[in-house]
Amino acid sequence: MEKALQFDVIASCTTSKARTSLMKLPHYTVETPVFMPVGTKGSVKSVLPEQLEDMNCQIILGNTYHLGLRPGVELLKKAKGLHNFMGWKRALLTDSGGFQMVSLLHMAEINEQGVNFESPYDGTKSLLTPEKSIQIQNAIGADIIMQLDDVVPTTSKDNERMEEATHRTTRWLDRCLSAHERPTEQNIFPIVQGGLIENLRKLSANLHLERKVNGYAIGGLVGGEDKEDFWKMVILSTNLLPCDKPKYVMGVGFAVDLVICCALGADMFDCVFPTRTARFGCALISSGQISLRHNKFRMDFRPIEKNCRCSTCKTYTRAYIHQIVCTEAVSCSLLSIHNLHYQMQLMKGIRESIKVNKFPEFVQEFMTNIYPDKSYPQWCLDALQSVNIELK
Amino acid sequence: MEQARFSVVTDRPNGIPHTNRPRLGSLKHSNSQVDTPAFMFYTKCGSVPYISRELFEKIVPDDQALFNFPLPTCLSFLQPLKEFKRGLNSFVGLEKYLSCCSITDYAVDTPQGYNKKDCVAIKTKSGNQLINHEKYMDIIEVFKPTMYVTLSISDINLNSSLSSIEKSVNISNRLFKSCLERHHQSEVLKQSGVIAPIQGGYNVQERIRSATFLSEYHDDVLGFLFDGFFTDGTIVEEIPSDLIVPIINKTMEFIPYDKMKIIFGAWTPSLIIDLINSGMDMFDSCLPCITTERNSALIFDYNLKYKNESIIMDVSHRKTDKMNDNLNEYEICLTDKCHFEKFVPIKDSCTCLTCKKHTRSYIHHLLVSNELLGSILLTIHNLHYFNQFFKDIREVLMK
Repeated sequence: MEKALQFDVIASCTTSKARTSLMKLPHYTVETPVFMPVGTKGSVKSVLPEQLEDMNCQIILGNTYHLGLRPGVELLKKAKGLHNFMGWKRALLTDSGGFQMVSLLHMAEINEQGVNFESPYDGTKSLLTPEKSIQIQNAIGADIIMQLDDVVPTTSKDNERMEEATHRTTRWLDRCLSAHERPTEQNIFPIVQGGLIENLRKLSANLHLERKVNGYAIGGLVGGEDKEDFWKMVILSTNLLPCDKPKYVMGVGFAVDLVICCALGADMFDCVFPTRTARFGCALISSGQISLRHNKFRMDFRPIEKNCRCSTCKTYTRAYIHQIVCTEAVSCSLLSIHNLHYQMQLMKGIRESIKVNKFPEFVQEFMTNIYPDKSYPQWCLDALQSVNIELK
Repeated sequence: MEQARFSVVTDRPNGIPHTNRPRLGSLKHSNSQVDTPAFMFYTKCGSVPYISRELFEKIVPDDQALFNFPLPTCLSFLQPLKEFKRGLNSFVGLEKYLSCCSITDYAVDTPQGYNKKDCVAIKTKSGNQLINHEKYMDIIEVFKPTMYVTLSISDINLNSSLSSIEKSVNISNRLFKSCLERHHQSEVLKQSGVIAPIQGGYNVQERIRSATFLSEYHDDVLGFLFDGFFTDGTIVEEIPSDLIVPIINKTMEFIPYDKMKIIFGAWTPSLIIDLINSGMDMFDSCLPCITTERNSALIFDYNLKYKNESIIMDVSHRKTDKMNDNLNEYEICLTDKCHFEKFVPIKDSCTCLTCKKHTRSYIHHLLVSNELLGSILLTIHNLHYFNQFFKDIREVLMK
């Protein structure tokens, strides 16, 4: 039986834990490390599928919670899956729906059975069980699907609840795996939980290692925790997880976080940040980000970023975008395309540097661009030092 | 570089120019050419709504396009443009295309009034700005369009009184003369063509008065705009053909045959055909844009014939979908529930990017989920469809 995921590491950094790989999925072979843009409701907001392909985007993420409500499982089945429905030929990943419920709905209530929630559209009560989540994700048909996990806010001080959630996450994993109906076409990734508690993280990773899966996610982070805690939990997890399988840190999308997590051995990332910040008028550039709403761009006739090859920078100036930002819909498209192109180029830069064993140099150059005065955050210095990269 | 030139291409029957007949024409400026009958692409704040330049090139791949920039939507660009110096269409990323500046946004409902003597109120998002001809020509010198409509009072509609119509003709004529004088003094505007706006509302005598006056300056103008028929751009489709066509036909007799004839607004496809039969050369894309705004797609089936020196259009009435939309015979509304699980393109025979790749079901989902991509896909289809409609019109005239 052919596996639904084949993972080949093609080069590893000899200094840090960074590596670049080919992840062969049913719909596309994805180069990692990879950033996955988020297409919440079946579209990456204001960007056409062919524009995503043009910027070499290889895998995108859909949200099970939103898609399950609208257009709904029945329609997605009739459409023969989300790929077909939205006209996206490359790889897809869906989340379990649990995170949205807990983060978006104050009414969500979790017990051993699953997550009880109220529909925001009609107020009816529903129960999302691990089985139900997989059933929906089987209908959506993404290449990678996520187990339903018991999400506790990272910053929670309730260790007892955290411990319960960690164990429950593994129990739910087993229920997800047995409910999975398309194992030759779709891969379930377990999610390593455990909050910021070292022993719980270790326990969670070790429990999940016993299951037969093709890749792992590291969850429950990027929830407002201290960055020092964040990177320690990432490396602790990547150290425990096997080298021959992809490791996905959920919710990471800031450029600095992406570069550091790659150094710590992570392979996959997702975040709404580049497209969301675009809708608020922010553009990502090599020295950080700029808000085009600011009046200082009124007479700035340069592209968002010099030498950027995205379709926005080839045509438009900061001054023009400043005029239409946040008022004309087209500004969302222009900034989303630029920001996603930025993310794609960043990941490509990381991959290329690993291939020629120059990743530490890449990190240095990247950090110098953002912190020209060398005021590197301590957590970056610490995280990089832990994988033998010393910033100058 | 010289000014844009317009020429009528159609052979004149028996060598005599005949006004109320459809004709083929061609608008040329340096390396650009737009064949008429055609339309200007409506823009808002410098862009076709929802459409970046990258997407526009996918809709109209042949570089030949003319954009209309309504002043109320881009007046705020004036200060940066003064420093930018390279003109409006370069500033908004459309430098390789032809451009036209008009003083009204013909796709929206614009409140009447607020004009003062010879100052025209430009109704922008951030309030009214009173502009006299000097200020206006300063703006045009900075915008540097391929052509521009001279300043005028055009906020006339079906309900306007005779006295306000007369006033609008009087002031517009004066403003035309002042703008033209200034145009001749301007070094910068040597490359820009002048469009003379014919006012007069629905009063034939006033239309003739306006047309007669403006026609005296025919050597100085590139074309004539039939202006001042409505103030609410969203209800233009409701203006009946027999109210406007006779006025246009009559007025045509008083303006020179070989100049470009322009009308703006979201006229129905059937009225567009009537107006082309009256000798109109140039329209705009308000119709496809407004159609997108009501979440609809143009899908009308038409058959064009050329008979007795006019175009005849048969629109076949759709069999299906009748219960679902109370709109009109030209479009379907994609937010309508009936499209929920229709896994077919908006229009089977359509070759636009949207129809080649996406289904009604998906577009319905995007629109009801308030995803911007829904409006983007609709605009791509509607502009493509409208563009094809004009291509077909030109083709039938070529035979």
